[in-house]
Amino acid sequence: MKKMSLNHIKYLLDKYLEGKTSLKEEETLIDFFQSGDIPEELEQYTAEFSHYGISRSEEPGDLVQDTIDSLNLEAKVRSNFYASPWYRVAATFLLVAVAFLSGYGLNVRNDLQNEVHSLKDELLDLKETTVQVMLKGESSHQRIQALVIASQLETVSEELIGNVLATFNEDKSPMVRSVALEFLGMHSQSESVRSVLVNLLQEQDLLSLQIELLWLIQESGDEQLIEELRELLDSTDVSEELKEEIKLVIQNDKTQSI
Amino acid sequence: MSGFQTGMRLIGVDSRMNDIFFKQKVISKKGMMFRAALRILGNRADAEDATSEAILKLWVKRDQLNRYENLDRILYTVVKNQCLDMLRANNSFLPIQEEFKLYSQDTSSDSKANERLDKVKKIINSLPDKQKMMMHFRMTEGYSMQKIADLMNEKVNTVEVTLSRARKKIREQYEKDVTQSH
Repeated sequence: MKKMSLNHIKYLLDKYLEGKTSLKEEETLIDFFQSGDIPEELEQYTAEFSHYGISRSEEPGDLVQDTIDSLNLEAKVRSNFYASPWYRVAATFLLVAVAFLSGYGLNVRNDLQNEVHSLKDELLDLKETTVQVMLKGESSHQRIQALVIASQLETVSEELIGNVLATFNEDKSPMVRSVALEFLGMHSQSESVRSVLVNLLQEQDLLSLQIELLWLIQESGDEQLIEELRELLDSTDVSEELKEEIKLVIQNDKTQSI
Repeated sequence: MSGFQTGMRLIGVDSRMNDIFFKQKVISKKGMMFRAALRILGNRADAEDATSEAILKLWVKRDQLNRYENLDRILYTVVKNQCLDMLRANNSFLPIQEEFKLYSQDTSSDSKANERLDKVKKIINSLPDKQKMMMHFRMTEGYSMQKIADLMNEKVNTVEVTLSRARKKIREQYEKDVTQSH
């Protein structure tokens, strides 16, 4: 048995030299040479593979962490600045001025076709702006309406997706959150939505919406997302009920792939 | 609330999303950036400096980061350039030495094993930059050939060949060093 596995290691070492080993096989080599019990004939490879093993655990220290902490501080100061009424007045004035001037510029320079095109874009922008404004409205009815209109838009900006993500996380009405999720489902192919689906699961505090989100992840059939789900099973921050649901999804995914 | 007021509120909404994006996509990669800097600069203190500087630079540009499809490549490029700037600024830079010192302070009591590790490290450090970084991404970060190709703007085939060349060189040189020391 020992001899066979030794032959296997030798075979992997040859393959490794040719640059043909898979990541898993390289992992096997690193594990083997770090295990301590190395036969003499393979001793010469120990240092190299131990080095890779050690280098994997190198992490930055306090200086980098202090830098990151200082960013959070800056973000707080900045958000206070943006919240000041003078900033808003100045920024709005600027926006209106830029819109006016660029509109003027377009009229002078562009031919009719371009103008139609830009008008279409402007209309789309206008629709999106309306949605954004309604999304911040006081009544949940208004916010739901915003999401319904948003779902009808042909193309949506990253900004709008970002705001809907925030609505799904934070809106006080579960109904609004649920409609927001529907919108996100329509855009689950977009990288900015897909990449945060599992994170959303952790941030969301309503089990019903967590389950809906899980379905969405399952529907996407994305291997990486399923893998991220699997990691959640080991997390202490995830509730037992959610873990049960996650297990179901993972199991389902396996049966489908068989 | 009037529509006007609501419109005002919209300003600044975007920046909060960018902060979240930054945390998820950049700060989570601080280890990767640090290890790449460590490989280029050769000592922890400078690698931490370079990583911190790179994070600050990326933070300033965070509004533009979500436009990039291959963000890891941007992260690597920023940290690499930061390292190269530091190397240029400091002519008397001796990249490898200090790291060796740290290495030998490792808890392991086996000095012979440490000596051999140092030998390997010296050989890897002396590889041409491309070979060194490809080996780093493959063996330390465990990245796929495709990902390394994307990060370093090379073809997958080139990555395979370069890795093979580097591995052969490491083995040959190590065997040579060991026989010499005997």
